[in-house]
Amino acid sequence: MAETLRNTLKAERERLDLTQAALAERVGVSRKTINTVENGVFVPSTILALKLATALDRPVEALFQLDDSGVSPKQDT
Amino acid sequence: MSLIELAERKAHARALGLYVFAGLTVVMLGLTFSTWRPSFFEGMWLGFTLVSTLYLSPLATRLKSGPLAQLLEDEVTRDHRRTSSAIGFWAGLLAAAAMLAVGSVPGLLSASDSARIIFTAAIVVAQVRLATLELQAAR
Repeated sequence: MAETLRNTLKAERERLDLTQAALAERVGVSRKTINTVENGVFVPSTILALKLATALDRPVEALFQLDDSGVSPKQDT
Repeated sequence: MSLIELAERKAHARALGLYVFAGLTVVMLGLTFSTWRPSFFEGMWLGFTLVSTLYLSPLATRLKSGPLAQLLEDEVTRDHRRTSSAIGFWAGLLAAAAMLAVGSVPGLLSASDSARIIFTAAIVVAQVRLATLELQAAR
């Protein structure tokens, strides 16, 4: 099953009244990186995802979610 | 102008430069087959190919340090380089297969002609793909 990564980056960025360029500056990447992540064209590395979460003051799992993951959380017994 | 804007402008210019270099490399390849000063154009083709290869490789930007170089060679650009290099590899393979077929006709192409065509196919396809990906990402 194909897994896709949904993100709420645009909504979270707009919540803080940030432009793509302003967020890019905070994270230390180019604006096109922010643009491609927002549009779901590029799946960011864990490092970038964590930097984005820090810059937007949100937990990383609030920014990125798996669509149709087919992965069930492991239960501790 | 902020660093982000400067990086965007430079990346845009670099993408357009890639299209220009790709076009010029193809033109030089065509001119190597002309009867007028073919060795001069072979040299020009070699020069363009070397510069194009450098342009494609991350080496040039990795040698530079500083925040602007870091922005120009960020995660997305590195991903675009990988993608375009892979496509260039397949284009090179296709060109090699075509040269195998064409090479069965005796006297049509020399080994160096075939090598030039294969190099050009791989590099030009990779350049055009990288430039397109970069421009699309910046929209």
